[in-house]
Amino acid sequence: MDKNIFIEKILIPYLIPILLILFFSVIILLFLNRFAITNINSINKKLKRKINVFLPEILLGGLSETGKNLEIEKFKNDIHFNNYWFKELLVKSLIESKNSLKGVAEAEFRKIYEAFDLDKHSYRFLNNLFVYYKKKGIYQFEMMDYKPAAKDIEPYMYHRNKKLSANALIAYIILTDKDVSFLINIKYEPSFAKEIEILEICKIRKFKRPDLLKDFLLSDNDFIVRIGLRLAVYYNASDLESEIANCMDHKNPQVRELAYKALGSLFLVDKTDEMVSRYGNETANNQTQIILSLREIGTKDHLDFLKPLLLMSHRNELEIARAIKSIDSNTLLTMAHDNKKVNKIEKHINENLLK
Amino acid sequence: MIDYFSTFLTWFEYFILVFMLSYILFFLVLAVSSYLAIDKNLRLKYDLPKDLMLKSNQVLGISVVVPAYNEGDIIVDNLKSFLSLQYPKFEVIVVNDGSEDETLDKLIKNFDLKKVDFYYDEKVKTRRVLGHYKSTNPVYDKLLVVDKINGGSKADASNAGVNSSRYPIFLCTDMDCILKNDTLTKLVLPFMVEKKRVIATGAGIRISNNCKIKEGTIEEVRFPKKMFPRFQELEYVRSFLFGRMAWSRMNALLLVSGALGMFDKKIFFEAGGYWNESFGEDFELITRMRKLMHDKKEKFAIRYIAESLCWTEVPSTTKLFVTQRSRWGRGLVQTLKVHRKMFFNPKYATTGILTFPFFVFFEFLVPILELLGVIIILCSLIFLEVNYDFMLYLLLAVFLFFQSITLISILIDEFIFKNYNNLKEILILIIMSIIEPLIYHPINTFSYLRGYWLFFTRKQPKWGDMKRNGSLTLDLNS
Repeated sequence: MDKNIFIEKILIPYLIPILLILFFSVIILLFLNRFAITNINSINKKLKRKINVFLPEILLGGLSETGKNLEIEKFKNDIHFNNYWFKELLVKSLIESKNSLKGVAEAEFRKIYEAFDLDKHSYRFLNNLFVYYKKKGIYQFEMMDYKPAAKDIEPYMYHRNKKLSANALIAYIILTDKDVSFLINIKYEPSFAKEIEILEICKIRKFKRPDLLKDFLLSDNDFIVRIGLRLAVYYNASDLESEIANCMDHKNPQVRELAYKALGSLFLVDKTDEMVSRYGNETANNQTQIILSLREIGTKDHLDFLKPLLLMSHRNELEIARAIKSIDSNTLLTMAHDNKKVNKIEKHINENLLK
Repeated sequence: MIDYFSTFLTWFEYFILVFMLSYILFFLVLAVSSYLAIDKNLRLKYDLPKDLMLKSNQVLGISVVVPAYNEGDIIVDNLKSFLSLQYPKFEVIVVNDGSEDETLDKLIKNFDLKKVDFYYDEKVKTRRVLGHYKSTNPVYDKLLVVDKINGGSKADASNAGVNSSRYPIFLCTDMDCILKNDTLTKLVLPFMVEKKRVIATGAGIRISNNCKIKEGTIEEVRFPKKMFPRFQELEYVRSFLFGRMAWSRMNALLLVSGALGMFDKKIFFEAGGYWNESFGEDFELITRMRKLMHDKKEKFAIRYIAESLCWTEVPSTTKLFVTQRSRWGRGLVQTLKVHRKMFFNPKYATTGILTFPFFVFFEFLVPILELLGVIIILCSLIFLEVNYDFMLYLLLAVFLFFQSITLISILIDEFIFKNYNNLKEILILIIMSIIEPLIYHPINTFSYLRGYWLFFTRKQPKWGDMKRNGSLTLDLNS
């Protein structure tokens, strides 16, 4: 195409005006957006200031029930409490206060939560069509420890969106405070992070040992088996020795790793030889775990396995040395005397500041 | 002769037209992909771990590796800031890389350090390690200091730190970096939630020049005052919004910044660690780790978090800036040369077919084409009858297009992250973006070309080149 035709037919009449419009539109949008941010920030600041005065007064002010009700009504009259932004700010402040103020009764938070219809606000999110808002609703119920919502959250544990169902699962466990045996019905595999969360909930909330813990270890769902092994350690379930030992044959290396860990933590010494016999066929991670467990349950019979390993291995030297030391410290001393590398390792593991 | 030049010019114009169109097309694809990636990332807000997980000792342990070379001025405050990061299981490893100032003395004195018998397993070879130090004060029990002979590169110091680490994941950062309190949690999360093996993660980096800093933590985020940091602010926003996030979404990220990168230690060692001879060790490492995973035929992911988690100083003078960018230029051409077998090699999937060629054509080649373009324009002005209208209108169109791209990135940044304090800062950014092609861009292009030149003429730089000078320190504390 001739350059002049390109300039006259395309560049000047179309391309440059379009780009100019785009350029100036973005600048205008930038200004409008900044104007909106400034306005919202200023409104939020005012509301936040009021909330920051109101919340401590109710939660820590030592007011009587009537006094609290009066304060709440007064505050309601003072602000537009049906405003979306206000509700969002109040829920956020309540969650922050709940996390930071220890010793304030749950009922106090719930009273405010319900008085300002924040429960309905969270339900509106839960019933929203979009998964993001459902997760937001679940989050608010969970953080507010709002137990009546448990039954409404329950169906979402089986939702096809895996992230939503995993979030609902955690919230449901927290809100129901009941035996986690129902986990056996879970068909999907939440992430490792959720595994840890579930274990921590059981610890912090001091849940009783699940009735179906044994079935957890026999589940087809690897996630449930992993949870089962973690819980078996936490509940000191040495009665499940054979089920735990069977997990050493599991196809999933992560399950096997937890099985080795459980054998060590529960001091199931009868299974030590079986565990050691698997060492050569295991993944690198699992080999490390076997060494770590041997530190707990190894006997002098295992020194013949550990000693050459320490001299030849280029991995896990410190763990192997620690295992030998815990079985027989003299053996390690003798080895350290004869071998320069072991000598350095021995010094390292005996160094108090490195423990 | 002029006829030959005229014919060459015609072909060159066609080449540039095709090149520009593909460049623009690629940019648009990246922009859309980036927006989708950020949107997806922000929707994960309610999936983040709650306090419960952050109290658990079952989480993946993280070693924070911080090389230090002559960092005596800032080391005490900044190290305290690293030690106060929020995560249940981590250690901080400071590698004193043969500092000539009082770095080690200050560490020993302020953190009650004592030399310990540490079994140093040199999985990646480094310059000699002189000793390891631990604190006798239980408050600092997370701290380990490695003292070594200067290896002439950040890579060598980082390798010594990783060799001394105890956890399976490590974060590599710089002593002048200021991290957000929840950085470790956010960066490690992909390692704990993704089905694919995550081998590295990174996150957005912002500029700390002029921020109000107290005891190693940012008290107030302030907009840079000097011209070069302002240009770089613009550049960081653009590269973050139109690059990293998009590559992350395509699982084709080839660069995780050396200032903030978290890695799977096992893969790091298998890949051979940081390459001591590299001029761009961060870029080279990721390229090598990707290559390794493809060679092993193992599925993997490298993720980028849509949030700024780290604030770092950037060069505020032309001299420092040119030195830094020359080094980046050298690093780019060196990595592309070393890993040239990946170029359009289907064995390396998206890395070989997409990312690597992108870096060759749109990162490496662009400064050369720009120089060539300037030479050709000058020759044309001398030898040919130039159609000035065509040249100026086309220049205006290109200028407006890239202005719009830059402004859109500021708009997205402002819309999603609200990183700026007031209208004045937005206005400054707009002005900066308008003058960028006239001032900043030519210097940047020159620096890269200088880097290429230095690489091909085999001139050896030193890590100390990029050491912060008085003016940077002044910026940080003013």
